Amino acid sequence: MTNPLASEAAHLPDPRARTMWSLLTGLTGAILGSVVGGIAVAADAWPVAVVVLLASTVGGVVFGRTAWRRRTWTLAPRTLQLRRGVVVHRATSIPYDRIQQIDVERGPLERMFRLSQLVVRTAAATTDASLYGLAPEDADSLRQQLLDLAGIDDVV
Amino acid sequence: MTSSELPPPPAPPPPEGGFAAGPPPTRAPVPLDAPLRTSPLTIALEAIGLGFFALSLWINQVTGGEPADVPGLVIGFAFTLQRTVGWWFRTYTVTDTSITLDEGILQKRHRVVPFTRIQQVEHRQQLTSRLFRLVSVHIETAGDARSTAISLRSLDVSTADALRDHLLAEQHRVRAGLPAAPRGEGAQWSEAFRAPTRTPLLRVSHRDLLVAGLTSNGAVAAATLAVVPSALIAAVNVDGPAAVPAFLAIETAFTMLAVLLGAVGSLLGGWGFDLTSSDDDLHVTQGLLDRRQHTMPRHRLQHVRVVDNPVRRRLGVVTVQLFSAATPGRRDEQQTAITIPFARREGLGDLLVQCMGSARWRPPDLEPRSPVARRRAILRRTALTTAMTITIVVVLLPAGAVLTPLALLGIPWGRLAHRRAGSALDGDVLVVASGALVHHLELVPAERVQSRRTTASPFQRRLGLASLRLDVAGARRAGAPGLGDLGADVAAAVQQAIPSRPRAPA
Repeated sequence: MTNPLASEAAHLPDPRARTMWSLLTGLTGAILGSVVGGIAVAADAWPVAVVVLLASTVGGVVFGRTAWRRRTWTLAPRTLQLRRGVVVHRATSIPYDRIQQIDVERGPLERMFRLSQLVVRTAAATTDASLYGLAPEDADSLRQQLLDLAGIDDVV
Repeated sequence: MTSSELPPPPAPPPPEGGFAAGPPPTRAPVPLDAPLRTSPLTIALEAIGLGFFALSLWINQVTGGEPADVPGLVIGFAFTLQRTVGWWFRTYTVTDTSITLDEGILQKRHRVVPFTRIQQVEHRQQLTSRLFRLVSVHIETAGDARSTAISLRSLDVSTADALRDHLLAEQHRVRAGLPAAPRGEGAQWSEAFRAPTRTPLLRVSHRDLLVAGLTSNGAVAAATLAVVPSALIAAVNVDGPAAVPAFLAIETAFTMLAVLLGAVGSLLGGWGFDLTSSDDDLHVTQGLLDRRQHTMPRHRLQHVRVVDNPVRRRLGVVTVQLFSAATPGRRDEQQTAITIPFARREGLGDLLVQCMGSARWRPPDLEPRSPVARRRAILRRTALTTAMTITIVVVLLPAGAVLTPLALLGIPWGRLAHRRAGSALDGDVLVVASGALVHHLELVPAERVQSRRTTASPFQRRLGLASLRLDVAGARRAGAPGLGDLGADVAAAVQQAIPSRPRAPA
């Protein structure tokens, strides 16, 4: 089997991240929907409340799935390229030799879903580069690969 | 002066220099490998405080004053005592490769700064320490200055100057891969210990400082912003047609005050501004009451910002800021940047080339943004001015209706913003410019770009536009150079200009 990390294709986060994110955004949608729905119930408009709750929950789930699909990382020839964003599209590209430090982070929720996140840091504090929702074994091997690509030059 | 006439980069001092030959050294050698304390005069300064607290405590005892004062005095006394004792426990040591700081009475702190990690050295001399001929030395490294820098309060002037010259000479030596100067008697006479000669680059006269202060962004902004409160005060307090002269009088008073404060601040801070270079280092000396001497090796420069505003533009004047990777933490970013308060726009290219010793710093002609971006610039600003005008008009109805045309201000504002925006992203110094009123021209060496960010909102995507940010070491979130509404292809192509090693074959 070839190493999937060696290809220059755009990689999506782990499918478990899609589950996690759509659950989270669906839940957020449901909470927002029940607030609006609560107002509708107070105004004695039950059907409206049900429709709002359903729509916002489904909308939340769709948003989570879209966010998952939009978030990609690519090992381009000279740079690590990250893309994300459903409404506002954001892209970050970091030349490999600018990488100073790579952290692996796992929050409690991520541990529950068996996910890891890589935070790539450069000498600039404003660099915004996190790879969310990686499988732990992918995160470790990708981290090692990025460190190999980064080298040890003093860039500041 | 053209780039071809520039002196070649200075050669590092030869490893084995002729010792006793040549003129005598003009600075004191720095003792190596020995723990050194800052000036004992620190004690004198602290002892004054200590004496004050002791006296206060004693008076409090004798006169049987308020018992409530006692805890405060005890704390003050203990604090001063701790600072005094702390002086004894604070030592710095210069070795062949690094400077170390040891401090702390109970909890010891040992901080090592290798010469190669020094970003800049700053001397600050407050009015009180000038009386004692003392200087605070701040040795700054990349990152937050609060947690990474070495600060030595109260060195005497000659020690501080020798220390700075030594640190920078050693940084160049280590970078050049040369061995350390030999120790012993003769070593003090080696080339490395000669005070570097300074080449003058720029002096700013008091008159120019005054102009810089009178036209500072703060003064111009205050004058602009004062329009609203002035109008309100005039409208509320004065009835009828007399409100107009009242408004003008109040506005003038506000403006004069802001301008006056700006001018005083500029004169005090920039008094005697003198920019020089020696070897690879840039030096700035400035300040009337509190004096600052700033030294930044040229190779530490991360980006350059040229700032002007409409008034300065009319006068052909700009401010130039040179940033290293040292960030001031929560302090004002002015604190770690070298700021040239007054420079002629027409001479800007020559000044930058002379400062940096390389022709690549001459700002190129900028590529304007696309006509689509112009339409968007006008539309967005007109939307903003319209919203603001509606609010003001509604508040001031019925008389406020006269102000309705203010909404149209967005059109010239947007046109100006578009005209003043531009970029040059294909050279080895990347340049972006933006800002209708306060205008920033940012020059970033391509090899200093750590990462590149683009964002595109749905509206921008529809027009094929994107916003670009270049992440540079030392810049804070608001300070990262960037430009909105570039062509998406232009923003994406920046990657080609940023030099980087290709990845190894997988």
